Amino acid sequence: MPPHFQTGHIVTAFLAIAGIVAACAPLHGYPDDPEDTTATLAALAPYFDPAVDKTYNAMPADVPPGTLNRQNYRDLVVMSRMRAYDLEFDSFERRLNGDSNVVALGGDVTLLVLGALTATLGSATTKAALGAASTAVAGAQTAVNKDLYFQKTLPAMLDQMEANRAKAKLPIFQGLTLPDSQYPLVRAEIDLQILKQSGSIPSAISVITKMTSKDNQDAQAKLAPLRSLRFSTSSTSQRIMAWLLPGGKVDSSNMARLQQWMKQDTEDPRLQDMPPMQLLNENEDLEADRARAITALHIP
Amino acid sequence: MSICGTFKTTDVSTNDVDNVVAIYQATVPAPVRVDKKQDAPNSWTVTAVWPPCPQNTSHSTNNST
Repeated sequence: MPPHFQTGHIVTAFLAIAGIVAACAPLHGYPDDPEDTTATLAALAPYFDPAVDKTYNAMPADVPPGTLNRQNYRDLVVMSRMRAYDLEFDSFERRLNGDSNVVALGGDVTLLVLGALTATLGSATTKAALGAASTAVAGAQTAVNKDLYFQKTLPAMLDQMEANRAKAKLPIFQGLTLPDSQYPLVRAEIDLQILKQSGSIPSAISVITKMTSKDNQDAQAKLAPLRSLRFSTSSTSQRIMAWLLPGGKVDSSNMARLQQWMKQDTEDPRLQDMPPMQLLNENEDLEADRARAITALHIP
Repeated sequence: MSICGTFKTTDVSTNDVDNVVAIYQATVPAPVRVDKKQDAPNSWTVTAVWPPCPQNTSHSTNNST
């Protein structure tokens, strides 16, 4: 292949890749923000200055009406900081959404194009270079796939972060209705610190983990009475047992179907976490469960 | 959540005990172990043990929690 032809192909190939990646520009899921948040944050910066506390403490509690007093100043500082935290959280939320989308889409397509080019184009050197690029993208994709869990759980985490922030804002708004003597700036600063932390991923994960742990505890508590049961000789038990053990040996296909049904049954969620043998034992609720299983699985 | 902790079937007849053991053993995920113990003539208890349940959850047949 003539060298100029190779070069032309390579340039075309990289333009194609660039075009495809550009076509995969992230759809952030948010409308454009007309506000210049950088400028707004810069304007709010003075309210984070340590000198604020000094100014606040130097102010008299009681001043003539219409004059900036300590409580007015507290409200101004607190609301300004909350505004800044809101803007930063909004930006953080947008970045989390946008970044996870662009890596997944762009990486997939780039990898396909690079792989195809390596197979069809140019000299050994060109192929080696493209192959190396392909491997690099594949490596990046492996990392992305490891982050798949993160990406899939992102909406739940964002929901939790928003819920945590709303919860953290409540005592601040309540505090601002109180006079300065009952809700001084230093107390508000403690609440603001909680608000700042409540918009973080670790904070969201912590709450979700606690909720999951509670769900597990509840599920186990409901399962406890079914852990030790008497063997049942009811007709439903005997029918299922005969179906599971045709000729005295376990039919693994029927066993898998029964377990699948138990996992998907919505009427008795306890079935999801128990072995099929427990379903065949003596218990009034399980008798009803067996009847449903017989119908659903057409057990003779 | 997956199957965890200990499950028992009591009052199993001698005729049925091996079938009960076989059904426990065929469970997915498989138990760590399955034991059978004779309590009386023609009466057995079969115990199947899976890995312990996550912390703070019950994994005992004594169902204390």
